[in-house]
Amino acid sequence: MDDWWTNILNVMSSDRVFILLRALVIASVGFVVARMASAAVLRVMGKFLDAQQRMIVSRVVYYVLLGLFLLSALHELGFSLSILVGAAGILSVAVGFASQTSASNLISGLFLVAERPFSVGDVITLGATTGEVLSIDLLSVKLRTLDNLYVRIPNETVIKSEVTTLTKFPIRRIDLQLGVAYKEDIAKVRELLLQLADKNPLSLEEPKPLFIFLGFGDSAINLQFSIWVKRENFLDLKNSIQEEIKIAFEREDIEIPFPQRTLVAGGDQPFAVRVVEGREKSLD
Amino acid sequence: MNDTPRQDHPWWGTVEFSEGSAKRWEIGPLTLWIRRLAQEWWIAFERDEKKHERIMAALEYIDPDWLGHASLERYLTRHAQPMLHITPTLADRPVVTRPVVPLHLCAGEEATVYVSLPAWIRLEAGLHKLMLKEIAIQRLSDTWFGPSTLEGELCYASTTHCRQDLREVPLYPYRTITPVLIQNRSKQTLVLERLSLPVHFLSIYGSPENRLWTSRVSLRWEHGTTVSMEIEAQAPAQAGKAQILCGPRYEPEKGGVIRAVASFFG
Repeated sequence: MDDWWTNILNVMSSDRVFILLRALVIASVGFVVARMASAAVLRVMGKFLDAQQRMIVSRVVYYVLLGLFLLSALHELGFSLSILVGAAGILSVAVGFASQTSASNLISGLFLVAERPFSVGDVITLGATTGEVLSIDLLSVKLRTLDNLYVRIPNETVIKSEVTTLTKFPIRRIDLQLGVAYKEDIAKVRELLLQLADKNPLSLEEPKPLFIFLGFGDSAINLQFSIWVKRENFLDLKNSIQEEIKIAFEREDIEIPFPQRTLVAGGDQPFAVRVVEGREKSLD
Repeated sequence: MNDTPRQDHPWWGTVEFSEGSAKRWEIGPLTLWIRRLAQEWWIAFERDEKKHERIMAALEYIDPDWLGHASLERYLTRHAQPMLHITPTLADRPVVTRPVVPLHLCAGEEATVYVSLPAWIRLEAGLHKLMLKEIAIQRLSDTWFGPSTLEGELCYASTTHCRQDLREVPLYPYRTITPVLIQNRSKQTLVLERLSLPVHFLSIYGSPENRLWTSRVSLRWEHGTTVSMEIEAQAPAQAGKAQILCGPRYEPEKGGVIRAVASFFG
């Protein structure tokens, strides 16, 4: 028992414990200093930067300072920095082979940060996902979808895919696809649509609304009516103008036809029909 | 031509509210209801775009169904002081006015045209003019002014007859009149299809006849697509002894200054 206690005392009084404590103190101070420095830099430079730049600057400051303190702590423990660097080189090759996907995401992340196709706070559509960009990290982009789900998309996917940024420009266009019956006067329809756009204050006067005769459909004449809107009013106008179009078409007796099918009997004789209990019924 | 009823009392100014009282305004298309309680103001409004000549200010109003107003808003304060300041102001974005008929200004000529624009209302409470709300008397349509959909700025859209004879300008009580001097110093005819007025740099003045005027704007075109603009820092001469009612939202560069505006004419 005494030997055991003596051993403990020997170890405690040895230099190793002090070195270990010193290294721990350096690492802890590093955490605190890195965090404080990152916050201080943000306070000073924050007003000149956008959300994404703030995030990048704060992370760079944090990780660089933390890295320096950790290296210093390792040095205190007796690790030679040259050996560490050499080991890191060998390790990085091994890790590189083992984690190709992560490395690819990492490199893609650097390209994303440099290219800046979108920033934190933008709303983007990638594949079937539309959402607000919460952060652009080294390995992935995090989105909050419009129905409040958290989506993580690997940077490699973002780099390889077509990304649409919905909030890049202050105005955007709403394309409405309409069908009217063949009997309708297209000039009258066009005039009515233009009047509706003119009356709705959310629809921009300039660029002018666009009316396109798309073609002769199976059941209707297909039209496209495109109106421009301030980005923030997109949904408001999309809802209000379609409601106004429906009301105006009903008022003016303009028919929006349902799909129609014409059945041809194939011969000279039409389908024979007989009435059963007040209802028409085919003989076939 | 000017068949607008004469306006004996201005609709702007300071109004005193006793606690619990409510008043109603009818200013052109806008109907405005305001109520003062011990620690809050209630504001509701609606617009009827077909009515332009109405002008009734600070009528006593008793309505048991305040909550029926869809636009009702409550503004809470520590102590709602009895004074309410109603000030005419101008839109918060430039207004692009399109002449009903495109104007052609011959080379070397100049002309003054009068552009009429709807004012906004600014509501401020108490001695310290605590800002409550700004309301557009007439909601103008949005528009985009710029060479492309990438470059430019959001504005409000309006049409103007660009009348040269002031007597022909319909003087609706809620609209301001801006005299615009256009000078064509080039050797080509200037075709004016759209005119962007930076109303956020203009002041509003009230004339003795209770009409609203803005600062005069001078535009000079020499060549290319650049037009220099100058805003006078005083009431226009046509307004007589007009008093300033509301300064500009943003100060133009010093001394009323000449600012180059690219693509001023659309």
